[in-house]
Amino acid sequence: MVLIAWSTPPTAAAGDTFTASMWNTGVRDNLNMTAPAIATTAGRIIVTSGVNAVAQRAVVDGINDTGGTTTSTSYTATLSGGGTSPSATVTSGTALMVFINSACANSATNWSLCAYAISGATTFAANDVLAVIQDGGSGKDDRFGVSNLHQGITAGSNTVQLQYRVTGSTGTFTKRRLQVMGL
Amino acid sequence: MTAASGTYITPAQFNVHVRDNLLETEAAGAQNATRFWAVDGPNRTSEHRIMESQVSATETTTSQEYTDLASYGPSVTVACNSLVLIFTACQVANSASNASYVSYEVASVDETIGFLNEPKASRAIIQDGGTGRHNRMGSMAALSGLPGPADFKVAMKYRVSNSVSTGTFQKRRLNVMPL
Repeated sequence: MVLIAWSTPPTAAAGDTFTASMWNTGVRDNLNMTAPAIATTAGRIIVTSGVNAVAQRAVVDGINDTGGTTTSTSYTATLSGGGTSPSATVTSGTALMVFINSACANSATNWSLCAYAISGATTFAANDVLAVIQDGGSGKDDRFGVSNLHQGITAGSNTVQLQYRVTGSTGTFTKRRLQVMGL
Repeated sequence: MTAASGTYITPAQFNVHVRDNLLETEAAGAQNATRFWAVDGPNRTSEHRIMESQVSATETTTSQEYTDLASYGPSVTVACNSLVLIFTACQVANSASNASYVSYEVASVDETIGFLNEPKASRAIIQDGGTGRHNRMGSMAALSGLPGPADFKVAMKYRVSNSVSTGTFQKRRLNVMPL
């Protein structure tokens, strides 16, 4: 379905001629811009995509419960033994809601961090200020989650993927989950 | 309205049942991108905005009562009906084996409404002891029963379980989804 732009519906007055064109533009095309008209898949949400414009967006998750390790002090998506890092690809406007969860451990008293990077229409590098952080506690394997409204996204197809690093020693990451809501 | 064979649709009927109803649809009401659509009441909907605020500074308190840090917040003001989803995240530490708490307060902007929901441990981020550990964690809660539609201010608050130790808080984020 090709979406036609919304236009203000006509106001009828006594004696007016209601033409086919008025019906098509003012009624048909506007009805085609409503939520039921654009809804194609259950479980989606309807958001605004601009002035007088709406779009259907998905909530997508990525899961990897397998544990993996790293000794990298810069963010990496690769864990030894951990398989593919969870990722989620959504079509979005200029914002995303991102939810990340991971059990994190460190073999000594250093930090183990799990954050996310974005690729596709947007390029965003993983950052400590958005991370789940396990600070030392040798052998502790707590599971945490954080969420973030990420603005400044370039509209289009964006892929969010979990990435990991440590400040020292070996970090272990398991039960890793990511949810992304396109806005 | 329901049409019947042989009847005419008057201008007034068209305006009320077609034009005015079209003007209540999502496309008609959409003013800004990245908003979501929510129900405001019977046959009424509008665009709602997820709000966010952040304070990165590393700051401390020894207060055993919920308090502000040197940099207030994070805080946001949202327009909502009766329900908000509140997401908090913070890196939290305690200088000893006591607990550090991060919670939030919700208050009506209009003082005549007089709504205040104080910070609670039941929805807090809690770092329990582990001297010097700085875990960054998050918490999520749904708060219902707000006397909206009105504006409400959500602000993060902080405390420790024992004033002999110092709570340290950094990388603070607040997201609020008003419904």
